[in-house]
Amino acid sequence: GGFALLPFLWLVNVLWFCREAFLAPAYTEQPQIKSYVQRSAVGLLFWVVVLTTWVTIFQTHRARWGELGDYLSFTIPLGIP
Amino acid sequence: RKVSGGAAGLGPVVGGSLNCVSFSSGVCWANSVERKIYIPLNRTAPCVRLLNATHQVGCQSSMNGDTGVIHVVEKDQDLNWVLADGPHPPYMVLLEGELFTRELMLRLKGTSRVSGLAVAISKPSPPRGFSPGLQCPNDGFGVYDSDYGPQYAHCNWTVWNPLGNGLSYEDFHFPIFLLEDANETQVIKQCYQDHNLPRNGSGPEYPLCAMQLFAHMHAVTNTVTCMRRNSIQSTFSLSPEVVCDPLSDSNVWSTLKPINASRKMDPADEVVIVATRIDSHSFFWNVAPGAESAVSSFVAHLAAAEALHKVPDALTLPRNIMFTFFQGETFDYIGSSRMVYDMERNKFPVRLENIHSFLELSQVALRNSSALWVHTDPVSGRNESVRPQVRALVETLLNSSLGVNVTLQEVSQSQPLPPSSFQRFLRARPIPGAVLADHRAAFQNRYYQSVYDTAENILMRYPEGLSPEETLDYVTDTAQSLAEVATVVARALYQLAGGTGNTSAIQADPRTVSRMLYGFLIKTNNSWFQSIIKQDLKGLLGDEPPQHYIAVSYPVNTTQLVQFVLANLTGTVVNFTKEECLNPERAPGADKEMYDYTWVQGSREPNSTSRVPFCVQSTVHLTKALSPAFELKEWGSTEYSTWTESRWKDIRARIFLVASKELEIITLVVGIAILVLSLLATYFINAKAHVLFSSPGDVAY
Repeated sequence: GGFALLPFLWLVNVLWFCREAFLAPAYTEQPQIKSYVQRSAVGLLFWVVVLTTWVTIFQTHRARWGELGDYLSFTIPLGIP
Repeated sequence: RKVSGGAAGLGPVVGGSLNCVSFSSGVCWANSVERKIYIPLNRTAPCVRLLNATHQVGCQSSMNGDTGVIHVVEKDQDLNWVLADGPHPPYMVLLEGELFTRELMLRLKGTSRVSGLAVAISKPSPPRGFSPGLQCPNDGFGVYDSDYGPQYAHCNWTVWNPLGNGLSYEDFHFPIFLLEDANETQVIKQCYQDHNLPRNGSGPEYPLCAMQLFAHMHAVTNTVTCMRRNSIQSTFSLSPEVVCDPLSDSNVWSTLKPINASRKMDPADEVVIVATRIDSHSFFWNVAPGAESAVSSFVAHLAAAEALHKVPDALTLPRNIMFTFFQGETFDYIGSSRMVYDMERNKFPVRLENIHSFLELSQVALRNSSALWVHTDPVSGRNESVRPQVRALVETLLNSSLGVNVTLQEVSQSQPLPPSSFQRFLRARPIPGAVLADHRAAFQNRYYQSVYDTAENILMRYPEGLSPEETLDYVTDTAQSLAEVATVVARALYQLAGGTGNTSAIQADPRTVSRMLYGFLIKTNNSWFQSIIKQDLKGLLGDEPPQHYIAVSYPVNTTQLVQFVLANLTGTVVNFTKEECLNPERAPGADKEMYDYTWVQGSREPNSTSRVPFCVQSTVHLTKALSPAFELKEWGSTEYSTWTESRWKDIRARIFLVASKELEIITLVVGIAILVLSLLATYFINAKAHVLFSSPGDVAY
């Protein structure tokens, strides 16, 4: 799981298997789990950066975009631009 | 307009009453606490946000209302405390009506130490005059622009409303309320004197008297933005929320000779249009007495219509006469631009080509030494084919004033038309026409579009000690003077329509004028209005002076009352039963295409509580007065009016005492400390319960 658009699954992955991958006593499948957890963490980080940037841009520029801003909004705030 | 939540509004009400039943000591008690803390202000009018293609104007509060310590400003120096010296900003300013000027408002706008404003209405009206309208009303929407008489554009030639300070068209970021009731103003001032008065140069001590104003507006930026949001919300959103509505209502019109309202007029037929506006405005929402700016002229118009219908050869005149009452003219000519639009697109029984001439009554009540001025358009007057017709029209008018106490005079022929509906017709076609007004250049009206344009402004005075019935029929000097204007108009219209008979018999009735002035300016709930309206519309009559704001609901009281008065004055009583009157297709001899039938409740019989209803047959019609900009969805139009009114959920005002921030924090901290303490105590008592509550056997007596 966790293909391209599932940052939340990756988040769960990282938190849930963290102990299993890094803290538990070594066992044969551990390197495989470790690599999956690491890759999930990288993907998660990428998504966090992308989403944070977008949300910041959207929130600060929505009013300035005018028409486009309204069409990109799901709920439009009342009484402010 | 207030947002009306159907099911959503019901929820809290039901919930509240249930709470009252089940936890009667909870919610109900809280309400009584609220009553002890707050004093609501009931007789107020808010300033609300209006929008056009490019701007937002009016006022805005935060969603939970804006609060501030009250400071009474009775003279200019009191303002220093608010703007600089006072230690408890932000302040709520209680302003005397006379100080409500542009200069002072711009000073308040430029500071963050003001959270809101309450304006006490000034009695008597400010002697220097007051108009929150523009100096050049409806600029850009009349006929004069860079192509048509460029020297007249933007009131370059004449400033019509020199007293206009434009406050109605400013945007304020704090709420502003009008205090209409002197008693409530006194309550606030008393609270201020008891708590807020600076003593010995130092600031007053807490608790202080504060005011909270709620007027949160949903629309923002301009009409383009808010209408776009309306349409996005209605197509995409799960809970569509409309944020603004176009200002709209209905025009009222009728004809002297009945015409088929569902068919087009024959191109060979000619019609003389007589027109007035029936709406006004002020800085505050739904406060628009408009005595001089609207009522006096439409009352004279109605009286002229009545006089003409009494003329014996009215129905055989070569030309027809159309009595037209435009709604929304204050906001860039909504009504007239719509009628012209409909005429151009053949959606109106009369075409523009059918119009023989146009006569408009502008403000007419404040005539100086009985002078009434005839304004004509200098640009179309230079047109070879129009010029002789305009001259003939003016001649007819001048002849009609003979023998009446009205001195008709023509203004200089190089002067442009004052703001008038006629300008919208001229934009479409060079129609010969004239505008009658009591002013030669600038308005006589010193309170144009303000809260002070009341019956006092047009000098309506009644002797002391009259009963309501006597007041209704009392002929004031104003009524007499307006009846004279109506007589001149009626005689001129008769001749313009091709009448050749003796005009001296045409006479407007001063008593009808008196009754109309009383009804439209002082009290709609009078015996005459009661007798001429439909029974189910009793609710639109009230004891307060009526307001003539166009609004966004449909139709407003003024429109309906003008409709009923016009039907009463120009219609005939037909002997139909209620059933026949309401369904004229079933009545013998009725013509639904030509006439309108109204079942009115009639007057009360003496010594009886029942009324004698009857059926009125008239040629009165209503047509939509919604700006074509909204039909065409051109929300950024510069051709048509684009005014919209924002929606809101809650508008109210209240005063209460506030404690200092320190006391509030101490109270909160103490409360939390007690909570934590009691939790700890409970825990330990629970843990050591066996020690404290040992079994009876262990206790040593």
